[in-house]
Amino acid sequence: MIHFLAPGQGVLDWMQALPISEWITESNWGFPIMLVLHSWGMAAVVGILVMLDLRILGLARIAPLSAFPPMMSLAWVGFFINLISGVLMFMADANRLIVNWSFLSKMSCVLLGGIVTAVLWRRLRAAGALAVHQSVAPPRVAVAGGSGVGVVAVNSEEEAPASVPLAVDGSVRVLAILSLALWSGAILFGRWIAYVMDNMILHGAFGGH
Amino acid sequence: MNGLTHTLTPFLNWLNDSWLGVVTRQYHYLFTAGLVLHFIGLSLLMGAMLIVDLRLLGFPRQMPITAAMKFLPIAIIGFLINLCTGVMMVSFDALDYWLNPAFRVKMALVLLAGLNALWFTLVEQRRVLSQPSDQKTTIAVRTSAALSLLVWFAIIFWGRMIVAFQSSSSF
Repeated sequence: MIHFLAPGQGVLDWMQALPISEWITESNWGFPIMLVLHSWGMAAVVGILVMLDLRILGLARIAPLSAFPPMMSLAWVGFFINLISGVLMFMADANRLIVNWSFLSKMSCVLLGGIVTAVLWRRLRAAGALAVHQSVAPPRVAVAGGSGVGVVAVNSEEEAPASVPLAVDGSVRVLAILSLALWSGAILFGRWIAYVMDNMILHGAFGGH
Repeated sequence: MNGLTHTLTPFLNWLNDSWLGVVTRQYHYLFTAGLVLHFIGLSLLMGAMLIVDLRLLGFPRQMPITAAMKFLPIAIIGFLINLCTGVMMVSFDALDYWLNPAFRVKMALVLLAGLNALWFTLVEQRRVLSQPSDQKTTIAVRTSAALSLLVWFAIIFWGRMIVAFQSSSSF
């Protein structure tokens, strides 16, 4: 069934035979600990990215986008926690995960979510929305009228970039919606991995268990 | 069977035998959907709490406190999603959940988080919203914010432990 992956088979077997993989699968606490780390990391990375998306879509318009770069650093911390715990969990069960459609879908969502977020972040930066224009004073003007993605939400009118192309507004909104959908998809398919696994075992895909 | 369990048994049975429990047991995909939504609710709640609590602790300075507090409704929405999906999942096998030590710790911590949030809302919120944004929050507010983050992350920990403690792991 999985012969088309044969060239990579050795690598997958090697991963699964590593001591850390054995600890994750055999010990009582290995797998739960990985899942806890994965959930904590998710809370940080998905939580913060979703707040950024919602901010772009109109929530908390008085929150300056220039306050988000420090939050983004925290999202990166969450991402790396999940990268490490995710790679370890993959290694522990590599042969079965590589043919699990839900796992592959999750990875696609994470990859696309990352790309969309990177593009969105670049757009905001290019529009000057992430730069701190003024020390700490609260913004007097939230967002101009209904155009308001907040690319124009800077702390003071006089220092606002002369012109923020409206084209950025619309496309940044679309990117934010895409981002929300992709991270939700990552959660959905992430949860589904175990069910697909159970079905595969039930249907004897792994030579009987 | 201890006293609290004895007191709660009628309620647990009622929840277990309610239409919600019946439907959740009949359609397993409902349970799965509840679990997925529980994680989406978690992301909403935690994202908002990180922004609010970290700001009350002073990070990042560029964020006005009044602006950070605008994310609170999202935390409430996330919490309500998790309350509903949580009740649904418990109704699947109410007594089994109640007898699970990880579940009890989680519920105690949710209660603590709730009391902490209530105290902040009733006692401190007004003052925090009216103070100048570059002024440091009081030690009481910072303690409450730190406790909030600590407790919410602990809730995630014990939530994950529920399955680890489950004797008959059907999920």
